[in-house]
Amino acid sequence: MQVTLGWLKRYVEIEESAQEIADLLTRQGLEVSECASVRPRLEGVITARVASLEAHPSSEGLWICRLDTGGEDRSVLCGAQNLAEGDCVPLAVPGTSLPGGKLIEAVTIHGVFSEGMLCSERELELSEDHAGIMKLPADTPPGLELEKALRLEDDVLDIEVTPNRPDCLSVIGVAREIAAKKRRELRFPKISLEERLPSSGEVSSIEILAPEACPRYVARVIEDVRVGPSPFWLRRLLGLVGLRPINNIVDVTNFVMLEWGQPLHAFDLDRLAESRIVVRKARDGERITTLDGEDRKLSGEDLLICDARRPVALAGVMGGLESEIHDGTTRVLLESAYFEPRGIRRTSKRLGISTEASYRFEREIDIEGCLRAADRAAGMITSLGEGRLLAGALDVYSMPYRPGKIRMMLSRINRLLGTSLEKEEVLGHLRGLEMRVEDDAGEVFEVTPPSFRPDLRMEMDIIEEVARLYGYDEIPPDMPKAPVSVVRPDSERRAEDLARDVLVGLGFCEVVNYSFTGPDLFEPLGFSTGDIRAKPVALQNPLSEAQGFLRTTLAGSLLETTAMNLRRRNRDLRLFELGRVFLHRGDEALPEERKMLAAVMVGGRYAEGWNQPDDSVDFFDLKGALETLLDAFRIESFEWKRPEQNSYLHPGCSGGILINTTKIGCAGRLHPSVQEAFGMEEEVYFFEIGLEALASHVDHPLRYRPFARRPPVERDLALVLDETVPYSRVIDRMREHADPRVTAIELFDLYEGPPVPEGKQSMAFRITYQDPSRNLTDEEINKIQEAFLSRLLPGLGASLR
Amino acid sequence: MREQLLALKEEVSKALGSVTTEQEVDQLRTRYLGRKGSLTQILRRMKDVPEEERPVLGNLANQIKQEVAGLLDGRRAQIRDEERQRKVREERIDISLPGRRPLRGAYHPLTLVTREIIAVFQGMGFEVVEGPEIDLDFYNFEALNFPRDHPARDMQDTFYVAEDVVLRTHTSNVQIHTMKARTPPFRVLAPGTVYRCDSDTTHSPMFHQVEGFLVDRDVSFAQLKGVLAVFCQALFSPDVPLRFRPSFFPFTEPSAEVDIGCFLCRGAGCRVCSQTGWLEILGAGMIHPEVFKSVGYHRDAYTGFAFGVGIERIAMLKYGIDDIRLFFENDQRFLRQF
Ligand SMILES: [Zn+2]
Repeated sequence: MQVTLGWLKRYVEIEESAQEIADLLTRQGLEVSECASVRPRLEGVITARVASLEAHPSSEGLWICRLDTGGEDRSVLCGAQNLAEGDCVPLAVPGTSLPGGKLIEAVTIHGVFSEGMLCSERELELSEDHAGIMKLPADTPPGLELEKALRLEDDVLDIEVTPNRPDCLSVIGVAREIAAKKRRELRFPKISLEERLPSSGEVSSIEILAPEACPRYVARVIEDVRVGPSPFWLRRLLGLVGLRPINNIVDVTNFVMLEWGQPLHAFDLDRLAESRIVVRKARDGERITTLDGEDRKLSGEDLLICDARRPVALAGVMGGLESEIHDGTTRVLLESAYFEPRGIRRTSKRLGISTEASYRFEREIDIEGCLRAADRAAGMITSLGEGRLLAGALDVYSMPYRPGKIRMMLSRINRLLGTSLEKEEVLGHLRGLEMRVEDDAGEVFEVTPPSFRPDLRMEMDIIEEVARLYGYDEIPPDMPKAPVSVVRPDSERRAEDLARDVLVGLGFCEVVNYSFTGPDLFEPLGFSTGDIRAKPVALQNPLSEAQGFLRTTLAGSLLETTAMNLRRRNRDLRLFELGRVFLHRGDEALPEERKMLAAVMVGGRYAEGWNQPDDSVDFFDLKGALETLLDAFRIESFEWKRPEQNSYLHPGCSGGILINTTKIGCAGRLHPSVQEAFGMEEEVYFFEIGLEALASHVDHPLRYRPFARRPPVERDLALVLDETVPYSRVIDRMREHADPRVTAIELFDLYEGPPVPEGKQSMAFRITYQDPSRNLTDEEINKIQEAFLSRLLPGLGASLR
Repeated sequence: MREQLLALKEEVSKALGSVTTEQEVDQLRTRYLGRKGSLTQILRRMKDVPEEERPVLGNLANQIKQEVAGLLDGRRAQIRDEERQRKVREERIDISLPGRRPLRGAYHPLTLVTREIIAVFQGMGFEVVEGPEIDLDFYNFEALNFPRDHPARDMQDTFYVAEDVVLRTHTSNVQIHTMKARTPPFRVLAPGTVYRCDSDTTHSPMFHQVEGFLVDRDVSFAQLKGVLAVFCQALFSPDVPLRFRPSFFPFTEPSAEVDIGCFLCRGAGCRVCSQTGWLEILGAGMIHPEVFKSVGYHRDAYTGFAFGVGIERIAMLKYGIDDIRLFFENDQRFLRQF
C-alpha cells in the first residue's frame, strides 16, 4: 500500500518528517519498506496567465501569447492549439533547464521575440500528457513557482500491510494510526451532495439472490456525466501511488478506494439491460469477458453482478468488458458493496486474478462504510463539475453489522504483557483507535471494536492493540520465572554432531543439498523396480521437473555436487552430507523420513604438495574413514558383506556394512557407468548409512580397561595361503585361536608373486605378546606361537613362509 | 715412581690438547689407562717399592688414575659437545617451504549457525526437538490458526504432496506435535529444514529455521523480550541495539518482528539494511489462544511464547554472504571458507 505524506496530511496534522512518520508506522506494525521523496526539478518554471492571444501574422498555427507573470509581462511564441485568453499555464523562463534536459533560451523566431516556453505536462515530466499546454486551476495566481503552486513536493511511503489489517489498505486507516499514536484529531473528508430528482429508485433497482455472499450492496446513480480526463491533482496523486489515471469517473472510484479502503465499481447504466442489478452465483461453465479482455469460465462458487439478462461483472474481482465506462458514457451506476471474503479469495485464486479490489475484499472491508464511500465518490464526481446525482441511494443491506463486545480486565493485560499500565492509559490507546469503551470504575471494562477492524474479536486482539500503541520497545524485558532444568540433546542429535565432528576431522567438507530430486538424479542410479527408492514422493506443484520429487537417497544429489565441483576443477574432494530421505510407506499419507549420512571421496589421498605423495584414494581410504567413524561411536562388532545389491556401486569393489547382522548401509566404488552418467572421469568412492544405527550407539558407556604395562614383544609371521582366501577369514580364525596374551594382530604386508608360488598369496602379520603381570621370555613366546600356529594353519590350508 | 705418576698425568693433559675426536680420546684412554697402558706399566713396579711407601703411592696412583679418567671424560664430552654444535650449525632447512598439511574438513555454515543458536538456548533450558518435514495441513496450518481460504496463507507459498499433505513451510509444526504430546511446562527448540515455492537471490525453495517456544503458567511478553534479548546479545554482541515492532503471524498474538541495529553501518543506513539501519532477524509473539484451543489445552490454563529464526538469514548477515543459493551450490571454494 502506497500513500503520500501530502495525502495523509488531508486527514491528520503532521509536522514530522516523512522519515519520522515512516519510523512511527514501522514501530506500530505498519512496516514502511520504502520512503521516497518526490521533488520535481522545476526551478525556473512559473505560473502565468494568458493575457492575450494573437495569431502569428505569417506562420500558420503559431500563436503570440502575452503572459501576465505577476509583475512583468512576457511574450512567448507557442504552437499549441488548446490555449484561450485567461488560461493559467506553466511558463519556463529563459535559463531554465527542463527535467528532460532541454535548455530554454530567449530567441527570436519568425521575427517574434519569445521569452520562454509554455509547457505540456510531459515536458515537465508530470505525466504522459502531451496533447497541449498544461492547464492550471483557474484561480492560480500568476508569478508563483510551479512547484509551490501545485504543491508538487511530496513523499511516497510504501507500507507492507499485514493480512490482518484491511483497514490500513486505506489512507484514512494509515492516518488513523498516526492520529492514535500522537493523540491528534482525525479529520474525515466532508461529503456534500446535491441530489436531484428523479430518485435512483425510479431508474434502477438492486436484487440480491445470494445474500450470504453479498450482504450489502449500495448503488448511486449519476446522470449527464461527461467522461474526460481528471484534474491534474487527482491524476498526479494516483500516479504517485502507482495507479494509472484513466478518466474522471474511474479515477474518482480509485481515489475513494484508496481513501476509505472501499473498492467501487462504475457501470455505464445505459449498458445494463433494464438498468438493473442482480447479484447471484454463477452457473457452472458460465462465461464472462472481463475488463482485461479475457474470456473467463466460471464455477458455481463465483459471484456475479448481472443486469436483467447477463453477467456484467465478476463481483469483487473485475468488471465486465461490455458494461465499462467509455468516452461516451453519460449515466453512471456506482457500486459500493460488501462481498464475503472467502468467496472472493476462492474466485481470485482459481482464476489467478488479483486486483486492488479483490485484494481488499478478501481481507474484508468495512460493511458499515459502503454507503459513505458511494456518497463520497458521487460527491466528488459531481463537484468536479460533471453530472447530476439522483436522489437517494439504493442500499440493500440484508445482514446488518452487529458489533461484538469484548470483556477486558486490566490485570490480565498487565500480566500478559509484563507491564504495569494504568487503566486511563489503556483506555486512551483504545479510544484513539475508535473503539468504544464502557467503563464502570472497576478493573473490568468492555470494548466494542469499530466495524472496520474485523481482526479484533477476542481479548488477546485488544491486548495486542494496547501493546502496539504503548510501544513494544517500552515494555521492560524480563526472564521466565520457572527454574531452568538442564536438558541433554537427544541421542540422534548427539550422533549427528559426533558424525560431523569425526568426518570434518578426517578432512571432509559438509554439504547441504536440496531435498528435491528429479529424474536426472535418480534414474542413473538404476534402482530396480522393486526397490522402494525407485519411487520417490512427487510434488504436486514443483518449481521444475528437475525438482519434482523428494529424494530417496542422498546419492543422486551428492554425486551431482561432486561432479559439479570436478567440472569446476575443484579436485581432491571429500564431501559428506547429513540429511533426510523420504520413502513411501504403503498407503499412509505421510512418507517415512529417514536420516542418512553419505560421503564421497575423489582424487588425491593427500593434499597436493611438494613433499606429498600423489596417490589417489581407493576403496580402503573410504573404508578406513568409515571404520574410524564407527570407532568413534565405539562400534566394534561390525562386518563387511559382499555381494552388495546396490545397483550404482561397482559389484567387485563394494559391500554392505552390518552391525550385529543389521545392515546399516553400503560403501564402495561408484559403478563406472553411473560415474559416466554423472560426467565424471575419476574413480569415485561413496558410502551412505542410516544415522539411526549410529544414534543407538552414541550412549555407549565408556569404561576404562587396564592395559599391560610390561614391555610388549612383537613377532612377525608370514602365512602363505590360497589367493582366494579373504583376509576376514584369516583374521577371524587368528582371533579365535589366539592366546589371551596376544594383544594385537596387525596385517603389515600383503604380497603375491615370486617367490610365493602361483595362485598363492602371502600375508605378513605382526603379533604382539604381552602378559599383564610379568615379562615373557623368548622360550615362552616361542611356545605360545607354536601352539597358536598348530591350531591355525590346518584350518586355513596355510603354511609358514 | 711418584714422579712417574705425576708425569703421566702431565703427559695425558698435554696429549689431550692436540686431540680433536672422540676416537682419539679413546685411543689415549687405552694407551694410558688400558690393561697394557702406561699406568698399568707403572703400577707393575709397585712390588719394587718399599713396603711402607706402598699405601701412600697406592693412594696417589688411584688419585692419578681418577684424575686422568676425569681429564679424558671431560675432553670427550667437550669434543662431543663441539661436534654437536657444529652439526647443529650445519643442519639447516628452508623453513619457508610449505608444510605438509592434512586435508582440512569444514562444517557447512548453516551447521555452524544452527549449533551456535542451539548452544545459546540450551543454556536457557531449551530442549531440541525435531518434527516431520512432510506434514499434514493440520499441523502446518490449520492448528496454527491459518484457516483455509485465508489471505494469511499467501504469506507462505506452499509445496503440496497431496491435497492435505504439505512440505512444511516453517518448523512451527513442531509446536503442535509437542503440545499435543506433552503437558506444559516445556521449553523447546525446533531446528529444521523448511520449504516454500519461491526462488531468487534472497529466497530459496528450501531453507532452515529454528523455532523456539515456551509454555507455562503466567508467561509474559516481557519474558519473551528478555529471552530474545539474551539470544541477540549472545549471537551478535552484548551491546547490540534491539527493536521490537508489531507484526502479524496467525499463530501468535501479540506478534512481533525483532530487528537488530545494523552492525555493518552502525545504524547509519547501508545497502544490506536497505538504508534503515535495522536488520530484521526473527519473528516472535505470544502463542495465540486459538493454537492452545486446537491442541486441546483448556482456555486460560497456559500462556506461552514462540519465535522463529531463519538460519540462512543469520548466516548471510554473519558471514557477509549475498546470495542464498551459495549455501546449496556446495562449491568447495565456498565450503572451505568455514
Ligand atoms: Zn546497514
